[in-house]
Amino acid sequence: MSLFYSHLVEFDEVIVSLSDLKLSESQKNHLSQLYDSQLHLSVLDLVLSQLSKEDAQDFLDKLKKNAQDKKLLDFLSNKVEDIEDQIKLAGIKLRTELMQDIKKARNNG
Amino acid sequence: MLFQSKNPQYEYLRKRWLGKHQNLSLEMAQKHGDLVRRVGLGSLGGLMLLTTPGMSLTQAHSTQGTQSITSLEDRGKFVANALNKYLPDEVRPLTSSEETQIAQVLNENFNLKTSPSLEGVRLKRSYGLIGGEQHLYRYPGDTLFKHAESASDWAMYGGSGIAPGLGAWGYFAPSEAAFSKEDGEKERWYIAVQTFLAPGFAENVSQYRDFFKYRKMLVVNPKTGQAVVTDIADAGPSEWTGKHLGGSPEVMQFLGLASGPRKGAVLYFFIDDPKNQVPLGPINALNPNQRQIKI
Repeated sequence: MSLFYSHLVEFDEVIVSLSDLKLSESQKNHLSQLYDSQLHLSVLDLVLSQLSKEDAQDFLDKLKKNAQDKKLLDFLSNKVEDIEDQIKLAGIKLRTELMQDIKKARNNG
Repeated sequence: MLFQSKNPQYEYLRKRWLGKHQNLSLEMAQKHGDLVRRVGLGSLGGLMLLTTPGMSLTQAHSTQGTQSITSLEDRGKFVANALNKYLPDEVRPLTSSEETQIAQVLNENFNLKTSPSLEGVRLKRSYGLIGGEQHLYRYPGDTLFKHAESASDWAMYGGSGIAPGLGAWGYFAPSEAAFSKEDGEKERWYIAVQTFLAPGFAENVSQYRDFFKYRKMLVVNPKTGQAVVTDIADAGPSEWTGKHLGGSPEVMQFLGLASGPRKGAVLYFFIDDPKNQVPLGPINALNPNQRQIKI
């Protein structure tokens, strides 16, 4: 599923690394969902922390209606400086953390 | 006895990532819980369910009402029971009267206008075996990887691969720059049907080709009531396969036919949608108390 920030976040490295582990399809699915979910929580936290209460409420209303709507990003860009770069950075930070976990998991196996 | 995975790599990551996920959820609840509740979602959990990838957005569309049949599974069963009254035991072409009765069940339960024929055109059958298809190239230079929009998307659908040839109508867009969200949805929810077996096809090739191009069809798994609004983007499968239509990896997933042999019996009826108002993708049956006939 495409979300309003999906195009800003690269997940190739995590996917390729998960594919290299000895995982069943359902295990790979589960871990991928956990990755997406953590990313989603990180992005929401980042966004909500920088909006005024009124804007945050407005944003959540819009998100509730359609989480895929790219106009959400336009809305945020008008309210928060460099929000696209911040989301990109949040994605990179999470990816770096999870890649370290995958590396450790590989050594465990 | 507990059934435990003995895969140490998986167990390690599962514990680590579940822990991180819980911490993030807790942090969100502490920092923004009030706000989320005020928006009317009831709880932070509600927001997560609505907006977390992997959680079906379609579930959210059907959470209104507190009538007796509320769970999606129960609604699916309700549809399946209603269909079973008219479906034959074997997977064969339906009679005209069976098609009429089944179309009525579908219209009532999904609030759509469906029929086995539209504008005088019909397929050879409306009840047949669907098989899993691969992804299709959407524009020149497209790759399988570009089809995935999230990690779970890739994990779920990436393994299906991409067909070596183009769909029956070529690329969905002439270039990546011209590729739109709507084009993406057309590929995501596509089916391949045996257009070449449609009565009258040989005499009206060009007219039929235009009619079938991205034509919407409701595909329903009659065993479970799971349903998807799809569009025709390819012709096939060949008769010798024993299958009568094919579904994209996503279509098969939401019909409940993505595992095992990736094959099963489905109903497929045209949707009359001249104003293009019916969105492609999974559709839930209405709560029985909300049903209305739209004919």
